[in-house]
Amino acid sequence: MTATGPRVQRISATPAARKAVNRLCAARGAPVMFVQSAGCCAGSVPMCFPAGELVTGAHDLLLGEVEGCPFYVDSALDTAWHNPHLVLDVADGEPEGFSLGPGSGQRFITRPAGWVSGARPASSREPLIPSTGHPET
Amino acid sequence: MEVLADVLPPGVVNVVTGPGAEIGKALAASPRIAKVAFTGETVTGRLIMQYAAQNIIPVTLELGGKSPNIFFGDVLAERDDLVDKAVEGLVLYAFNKGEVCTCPSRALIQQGIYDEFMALCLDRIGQIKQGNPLDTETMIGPQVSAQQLAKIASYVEIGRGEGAEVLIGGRRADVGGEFAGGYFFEPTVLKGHNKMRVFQEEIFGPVLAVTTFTGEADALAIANDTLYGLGAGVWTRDGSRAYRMGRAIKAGRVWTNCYHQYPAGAAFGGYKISGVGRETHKMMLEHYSQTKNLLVSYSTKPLGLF
Repeated sequence: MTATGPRVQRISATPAARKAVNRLCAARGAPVMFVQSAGCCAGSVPMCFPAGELVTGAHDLLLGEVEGCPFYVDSALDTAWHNPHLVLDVADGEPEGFSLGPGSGQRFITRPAGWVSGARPASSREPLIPSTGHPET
Repeated sequence: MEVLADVLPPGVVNVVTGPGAEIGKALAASPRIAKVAFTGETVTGRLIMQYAAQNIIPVTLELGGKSPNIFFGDVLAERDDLVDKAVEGLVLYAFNKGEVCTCPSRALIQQGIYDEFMALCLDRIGQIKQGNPLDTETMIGPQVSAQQLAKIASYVEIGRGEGAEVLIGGRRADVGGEFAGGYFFEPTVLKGHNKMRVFQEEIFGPVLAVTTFTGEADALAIANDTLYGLGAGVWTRDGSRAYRMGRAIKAGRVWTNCYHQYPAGAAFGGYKISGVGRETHKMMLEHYSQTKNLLVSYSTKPLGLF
């Protein structure tokens, strides 16, 4: 995979999401990549693919890494969303589109960092810690 | 499928179900597929274009929208049926609980009529009946999934966080009875400005983002200030203005003094990231066809060049 676009550090992950990413990579024996989606139906969710599955281009912004796995967002979308710091989390439900999921009937979701609301799913009511970008066991 | 069974030859339509990560790519990347059409979100659309490129086959995509519904001040110049129709036209954001690609999810209302027109609309929205989706008195049923319900609620939170004002709704709805606990969401209106995320991203729920504009140029600028370009509505008594707006809005379908009409034969599809190609029109058949030129000589004489 080639990180062709500009790079920032605006992705973090909940402990549950980090565990899920590690579990998924271990089960597959290979890293994954995340791409923030938008639009119809299942828009707004992060899509998770085998690393390199989506060919990224100059307009794909690398927001950072979660457990060594890159997280991209289209730069026009990033602008429309006001360059948010996103938090990767897991929630109940099957993954959408062609996305891989962490298994156990769960899927990846993203939400803006600093969310102070009762609307947060139970699984996300854990302290948010920045991803180190290095796998943990 | 039972309805189609006597119409289409066996094998023409196949429904394949399963996890997208397994069957989606297998289908989209299969060299046995001659053309792909996809309706869904943008990243899967990109992946499908990528797979199609590998097999050199055509692809059409419909990837959603954030369609503006524009109400000019002259709508209230008379007190007639058009006012009633325009109010309903705004409330059509709640049609099919907002789970429609062309959902008119941004309402742009000319400043001079905003208070009066919005009051009429909020009154109509307040009368929406939610409940049993099979009851013909019901206007909107539950959202399609728990995920969708959670996403809609999260967008309302995002809107609140951005400073949008909740004019009506904003919460999960409890319809009680046998449908208690169903995935119902109150028809919601958020007042704000077009740069807010709730004006820029498809929520796919009964959530309307409303703002005001000063004049035609302002309305057009707001309407086109979006990554999408699927549908649009223009409401006015001025035919020339309707024509100018229809020409200038970058969307594949612009309804004038109506919305959510889908007659067979009317080309349907998007500009910008709303997609590629057109459906329902004869153009759709052309996406699935080849153009062949048979060039036959009636003369038996050589050209005489060599």
